[in-house]
Amino acid sequence: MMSDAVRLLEAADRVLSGSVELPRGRRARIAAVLARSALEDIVVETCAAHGIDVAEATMRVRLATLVAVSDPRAGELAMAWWNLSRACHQHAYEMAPHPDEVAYWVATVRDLAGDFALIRGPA
Amino acid sequence: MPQAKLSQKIKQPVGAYLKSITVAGFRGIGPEARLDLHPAPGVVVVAGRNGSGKSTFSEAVEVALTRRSYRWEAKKGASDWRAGWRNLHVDDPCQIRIELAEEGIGTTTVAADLGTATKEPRDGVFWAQRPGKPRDRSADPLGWAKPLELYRPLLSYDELGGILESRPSELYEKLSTILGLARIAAAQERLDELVKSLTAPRREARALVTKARDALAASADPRAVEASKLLSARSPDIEVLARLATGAFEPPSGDMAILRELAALAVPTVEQSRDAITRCETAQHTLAELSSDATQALVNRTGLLKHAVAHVEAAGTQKCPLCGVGTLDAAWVASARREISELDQRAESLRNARRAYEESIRRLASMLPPSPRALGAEMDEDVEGRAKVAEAWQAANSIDAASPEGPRFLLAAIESLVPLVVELKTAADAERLRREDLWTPLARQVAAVATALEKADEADRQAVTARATQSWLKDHANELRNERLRPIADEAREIWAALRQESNVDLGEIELEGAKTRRRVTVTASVDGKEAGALTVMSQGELHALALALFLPRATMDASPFRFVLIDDPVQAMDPAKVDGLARVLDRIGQTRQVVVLTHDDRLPEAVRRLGIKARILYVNRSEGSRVEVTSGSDPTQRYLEDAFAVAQDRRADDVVRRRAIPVLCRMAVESACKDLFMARWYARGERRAVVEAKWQDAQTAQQRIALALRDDADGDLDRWLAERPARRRALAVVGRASHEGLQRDPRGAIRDVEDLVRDVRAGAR
Repeated sequence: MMSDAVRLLEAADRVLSGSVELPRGRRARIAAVLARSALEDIVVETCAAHGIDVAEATMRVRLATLVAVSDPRAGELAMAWWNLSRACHQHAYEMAPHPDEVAYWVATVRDLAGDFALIRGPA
Repeated sequence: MPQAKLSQKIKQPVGAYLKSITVAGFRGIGPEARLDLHPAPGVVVVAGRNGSGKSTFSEAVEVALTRRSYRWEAKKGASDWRAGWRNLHVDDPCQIRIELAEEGIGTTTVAADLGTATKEPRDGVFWAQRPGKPRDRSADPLGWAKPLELYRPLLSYDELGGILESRPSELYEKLSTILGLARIAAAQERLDELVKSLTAPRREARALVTKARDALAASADPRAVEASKLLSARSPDIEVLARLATGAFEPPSGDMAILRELAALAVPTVEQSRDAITRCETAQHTLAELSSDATQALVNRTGLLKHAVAHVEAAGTQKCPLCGVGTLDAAWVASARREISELDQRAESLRNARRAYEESIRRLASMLPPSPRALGAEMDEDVEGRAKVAEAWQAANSIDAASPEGPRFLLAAIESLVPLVVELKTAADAERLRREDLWTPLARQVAAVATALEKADEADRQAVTARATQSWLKDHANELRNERLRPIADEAREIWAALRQESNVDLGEIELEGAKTRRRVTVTASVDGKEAGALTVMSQGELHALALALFLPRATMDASPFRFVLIDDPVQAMDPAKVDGLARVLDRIGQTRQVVVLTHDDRLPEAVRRLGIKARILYVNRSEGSRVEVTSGSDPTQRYLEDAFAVAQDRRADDVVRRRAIPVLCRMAVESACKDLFMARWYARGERRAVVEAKWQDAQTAQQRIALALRDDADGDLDRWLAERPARRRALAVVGRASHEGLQRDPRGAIRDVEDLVRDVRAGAR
């Protein structure tokens, strides 16, 4: 599963850098979709690492669970998810996200994925 | 019928629509970027995030058309902006090209070339070019400078905010120029001046009269006295004054007439007198000679002889009865007759001499006429020698020329009178001229007064009309102004009514008041039915809406040569309800005008979609290196699906990316379609926004959202609907489970199924 998250983040980078053929205006949003999917993988696996099965729960519940078990990076995960969700969605009141903004969140998710690997590593 | 004639007369100006805006190296745009617009009535929403370069397009239009920028001029500390007008990434070329479609002319280009040497945009090279014509670099090649100022088809957020925050007289000015109200003010000014200038002649005349009366009072001239008398009247007889001044009229009595008479006095010369006297003496001498014979004896003898002759003729020859010696016969009769004839002749000569003598005496006496009236008439100021002449004249007149010494005495009297008269004549003439010299300047003054009075009378007559007009205009100026303002005020209220939505502020009268330095626009409003000044009770967003309400009518007046309005970020401070109202207003204006709205968020595009307003939506995106792109915004559902196809077609994207990204994009496509359908229907029913939003948020799954779109109920039963076509259930699986777990089937087929689902939901929801 972890490899999926990594590949999704790599794909997001490629989209942002323009090496995937997409209209320029669409890149940020697709990158956000990919990064958010990667983040969701990480959340599910982090929950599993804490011994919690969240397969049937919504993302909101999963993030709340992580906060509840006091995972040190739960707050950051939640914030990254909300921001990426905002970037994915054609929300009322919001325009297409700026590529720089999405790039920042992709980097954040990669950072979080690294932390997760550290947590799991010794176990 | 008169209506039809009127509309024929008012020719609509040739209209211009925006066709494209091309910008390079300016503000947020680096490499050349182009915004294509459809040059026809309709609404175009250009959406882009802050910093996307969208506002650069509107600033470019402003700079190219007006050669200035509200932003530089409105903000005192705009030096940062001034320094930053050139793009940081690409600054060469730095240019702006605006294409405008002009009715009946074709595509006209308005351009600004801001070469690297240009310090500020206003120093750039500006030109315009109409089809088939050379580039025109003159100051106002299209004649748009005035209309741009008048109608201001470019409205930015800053400017809208500034309109109502500026001084009251400024808003007045802006409205009044557009309404042609300056003409009323100009008319008032002209009337004020006219009335003032019409009172001047009377004032001048009064001053002249006072001065003239002072001058006249110092003069003894009867004409001066007469003029003075005339001028003391309330309304002097100008005609008499004028005649007095020109000499066409003189007072009946007076020194001047006497002086003139004196100067014309006539006396016989000494020679004439002497001749007359010589003639007299000759006649007297002749008479004396003739009468030296005993005149009576001569007469008696003739009578006796005639009797005797008569007697002899009757009685015949006889002895003389007197002497008795002689005989009175025929011879005697003949001799007597001879003697009688001789005697008669002598008597005749004597008579003649007497007559001649008498005649010469009469002539002599009549040589000197009786003393003239002028010598004795009363004078205000006597002339020297007059009394002496009068005396001498009287003395000469009193001499009896028939007396023996008469002629001699008379000659002596005349001889002494003549030089006196000559002297008096000269003196009188000199005096007359002296007085004439004194009168001439006075006469000129009187003539000037007469002219001035005439002018004053004429001015007074005109002033009556002018004053009446002046006071009428004063009383009715505001009425006239507001009559002109009414269509704009009505439209502004209509726009406000659309924009206010849930605002409790009701817009009342919009009126122009006061004059000169106290001119202002009053906007009355009522809050929940209570009267209040609009500007004090309105929120920032409401003020913007009000400014928009006032200035959209101005920008879209029939007289404007611009068939477009370019509005930059009108929704910034508006609440969502107002955005809906704005969308409706723009839709209405878009029926007859090209409306280009730039917006930094998606509220307006969203409202446009939700309200079913026909509008083109363009998205502006800016990426690294200030590369700005404009993409046409199809509906978001379609865009998600296109994105999904793009991912499916990317050969280099690996399978995991495909499996994970495609279902998410598909799900977003379905949700977006469902949301539009659901919300449009609920808003159309008049549901409140908060309720609608909450209802949507409560629905979590894709199926629940489809159910909302189709059944108005998140838990509505979809089984039968899903069963109608297998693709629907397959698509639901893609956007449901697969969006979480990853797509397990061929991506393109899955996307097509989702496309079908979207189409069916849209068809079913109608």
